[in-house]
Amino acid sequence: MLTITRLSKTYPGADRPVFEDFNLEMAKGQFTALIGPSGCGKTTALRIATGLLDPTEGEVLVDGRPSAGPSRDKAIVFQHFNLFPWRTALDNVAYGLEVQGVGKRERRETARHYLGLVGLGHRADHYPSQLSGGQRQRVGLARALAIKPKLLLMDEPFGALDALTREQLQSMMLQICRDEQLTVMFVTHSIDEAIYLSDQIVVMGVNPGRIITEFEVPLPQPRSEYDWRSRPEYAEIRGEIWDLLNTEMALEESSA
Amino acid sequence: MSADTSSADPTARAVATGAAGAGGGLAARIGAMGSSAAGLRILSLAVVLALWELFGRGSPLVASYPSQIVAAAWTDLVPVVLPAFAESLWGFAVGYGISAVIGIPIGLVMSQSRIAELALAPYVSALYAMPRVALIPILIIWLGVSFELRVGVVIVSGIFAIITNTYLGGKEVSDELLDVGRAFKASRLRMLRTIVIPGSVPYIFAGLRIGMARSLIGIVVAEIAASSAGVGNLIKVNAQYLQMGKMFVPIILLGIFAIALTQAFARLEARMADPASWKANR
Repeated sequence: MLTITRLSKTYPGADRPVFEDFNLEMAKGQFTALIGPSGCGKTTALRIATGLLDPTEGEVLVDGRPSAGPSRDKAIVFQHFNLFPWRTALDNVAYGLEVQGVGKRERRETARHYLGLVGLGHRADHYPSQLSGGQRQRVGLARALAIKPKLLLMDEPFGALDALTREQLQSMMLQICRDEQLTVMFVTHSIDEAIYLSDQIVVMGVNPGRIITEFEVPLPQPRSEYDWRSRPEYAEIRGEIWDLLNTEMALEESSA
Repeated sequence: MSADTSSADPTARAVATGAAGAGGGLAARIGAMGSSAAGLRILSLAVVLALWELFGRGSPLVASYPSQIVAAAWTDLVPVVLPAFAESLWGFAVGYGISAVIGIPIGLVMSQSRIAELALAPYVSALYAMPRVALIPILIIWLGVSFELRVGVVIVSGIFAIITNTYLGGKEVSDELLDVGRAFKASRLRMLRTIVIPGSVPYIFAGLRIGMARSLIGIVVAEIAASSAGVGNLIKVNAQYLQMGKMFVPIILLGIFAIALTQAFARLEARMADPASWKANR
């Protein structure tokens, strides 16, 4: 569904690339987490996949067709929510549809549906300043879902939230992604979050930024149904990722 | 002089001795008034007016005094002061309207277009920084001494504050919010309309408020310097004839007008900054 080939990014004036030789294949409906130490370029890779940044080299394909720049197939959920403070929750959710030229009544109806889906139907007329962090990110999620994308790109969307809110939003988001058959790329720095959510985990390293390895997560879905943390597969995969990241960070420190 | 005034005003002495005699009575009342902010303000105003009256009566040609000003307002306000005000305000309103209608778009274009920014920013900042009353003599040559001069002075005084603040506001709009527009493939025009303009509103309003204050200064200075009508002229003429009471009527009215306008702006700005409270109060 999403194919990324030989992607690299070097900022103008920088002497080395943020990352290079980034290759990734994501099947339809697959949930992929990108994990790595800071500076590995995981957010940059996600922004290139979204189309907010141009790659220096390489290509992003959606369903076999080149997909440079933003498109209606792709929607992003930002780390810091990025809601318009002057718009109500409903009008924030409707923004993508508004840009696409959908009529006012129809886009508000759709926005209301997705606000309800994330459990905020009763907050439609509230402004972001009147919502908690968790509620704001639910608006951010509803805004991305409202344009009915095929591909959902999420940049540490729950990183700014407290642990309890994060767990609630994780399971809600998983449920919605499964129901809507979304393909998801998810950037995180939490190993547990990556294991809980993903079908596939991509571990990245620094200096230069690159993919070190990929894992299929062997735990059966849906993981909200059982105590996945008590499974031996969990301990094993967590240990492996932990060792990889530790080695990377030690290398980074010794070279710095 | 102080002995003179106290004998001329027996109530002042009575209050003073009364307070001394009754001990804590008055002090307690003052304390009770001072406990609320409004009470304190009224008290302070009463003291200032009383002192002004006391000293003003001693030298009426220097500073006038409140009762004389009230008497002058009674005879002059409707036939003389309000028409002069209307004359000035008409020029102010037209000039300020033109400043806003031209200044805001120029500021926005400068914030969005690198070319416009490079071409215009040096002139705008230079003109914003220089004291624009220095331009009044040349404006008199170009525009005469009546309506056109007022409009011209108001524009020259206020527009650069509006342009500069709008321009800064447009540049300050958060890149994170612009990313939302980009991610949804919004056109540049739509991003301007839905993100840049609403995001700059606090700056635009600050520019309008500063521009307004400067325009008021400009118009009064211009009228004092050249005009044969308007508020500034009225102040100047009354001063020349040493009609101090009459002179203070337009001055005080000007002060009240400026305060009211600034307050209205501050309120509007606060509403714009927090749409949630605005909606709740509607």
